[in-house]
Amino acid sequence: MNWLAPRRRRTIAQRELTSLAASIGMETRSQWAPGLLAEVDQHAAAVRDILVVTGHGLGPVELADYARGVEDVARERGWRHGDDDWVSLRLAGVCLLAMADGAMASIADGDAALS
Amino acid sequence: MDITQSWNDALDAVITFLPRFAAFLVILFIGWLVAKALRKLVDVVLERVGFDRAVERGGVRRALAQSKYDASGLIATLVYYAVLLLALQMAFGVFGPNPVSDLLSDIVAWLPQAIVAVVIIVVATAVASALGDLVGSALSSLSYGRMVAKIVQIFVIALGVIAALNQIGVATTVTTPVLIAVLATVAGVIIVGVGGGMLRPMEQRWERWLSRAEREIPEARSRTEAYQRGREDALRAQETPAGVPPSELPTSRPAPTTGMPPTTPTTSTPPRDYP
Repeated sequence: MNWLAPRRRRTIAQRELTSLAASIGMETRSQWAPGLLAEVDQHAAAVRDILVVTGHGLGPVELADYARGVEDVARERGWRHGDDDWVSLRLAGVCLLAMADGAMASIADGDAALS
Repeated sequence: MDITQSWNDALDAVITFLPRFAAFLVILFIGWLVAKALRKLVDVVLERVGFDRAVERGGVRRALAQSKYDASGLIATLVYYAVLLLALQMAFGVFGPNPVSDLLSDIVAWLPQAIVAVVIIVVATAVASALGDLVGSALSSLSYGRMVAKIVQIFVIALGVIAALNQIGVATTVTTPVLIAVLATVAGVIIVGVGGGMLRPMEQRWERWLSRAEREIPEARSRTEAYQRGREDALRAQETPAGVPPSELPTSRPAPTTGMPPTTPTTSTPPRDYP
């Protein structure tokens, strides 16, 4: 059963990210205002930098963990889904990273090699 | 006076009996002819259809090896005697109600059940033979493979025999309890053997799974570094006053990215093109 654990964790993380994207409304992002999109992009870049610099990959497991951490703190402070603030933008950035898996991951590898 | 009366009575009885007896003989003769013709017909038709070859795949040929009939001949003979019985019944019906006629009608009513029983036996033998071959070849590499195949075969045949006996109505009170007892014994042996044998390994396995889950869940839930990063970032962002203007948002990014300032423009392009 041991060889199944990473794969299972990956699947769970992917499911988590999918539901997160659905609750944020990532499927409507083509209609977002350009400014909003740019902000989300910046958040995505920030998250990517953080995860790469601390020595993690950008796999779904790490992204899901990071999103859970952000969300847990936000919930402790009374945040809810649908609020339009830093937390939502951050989570949207995570979702963007998760969706842009291939392209972002390759860029992340290049950055990691540079730094 | 008395003598003439009795003579007349006897003569009367004989005279009324004779046409009936003639009718009896005629019906019997016609029935016999029909039975013979049907036997020939059934035999030929079954041979033509290939019934013997179909049946030989089951173990029936071995069962019939000592008898002088082949499978189609057996069926034809059955038909022959069935028609003969019917003819006998009709013939005896000429004399009105009598014990012989009753007996015959009982036997005729029982015949379909007997045929069903024979069919059950044939099917059970075929299934048992196929199953035995299957199990035998599947377990051919094991030393006890042949024995298992034999046991399976015998078990299926026994089931078929018991079902056939029930169908005929022979000793239902004996065969059904025997069947239930055998099945219960087999179930008990399996439960105790398999279940008891699995007790220790299953316990160890559960222990392993549970301890691993205990070890991994907190780790997976909250102790990964990514999760802590998320918490820290969120805390840091919340410390800044609410309603932060978008231009100030990137300030929450950590310092170590100093070596690569132009990452943001390069990375912000691909997601837009991403469908």
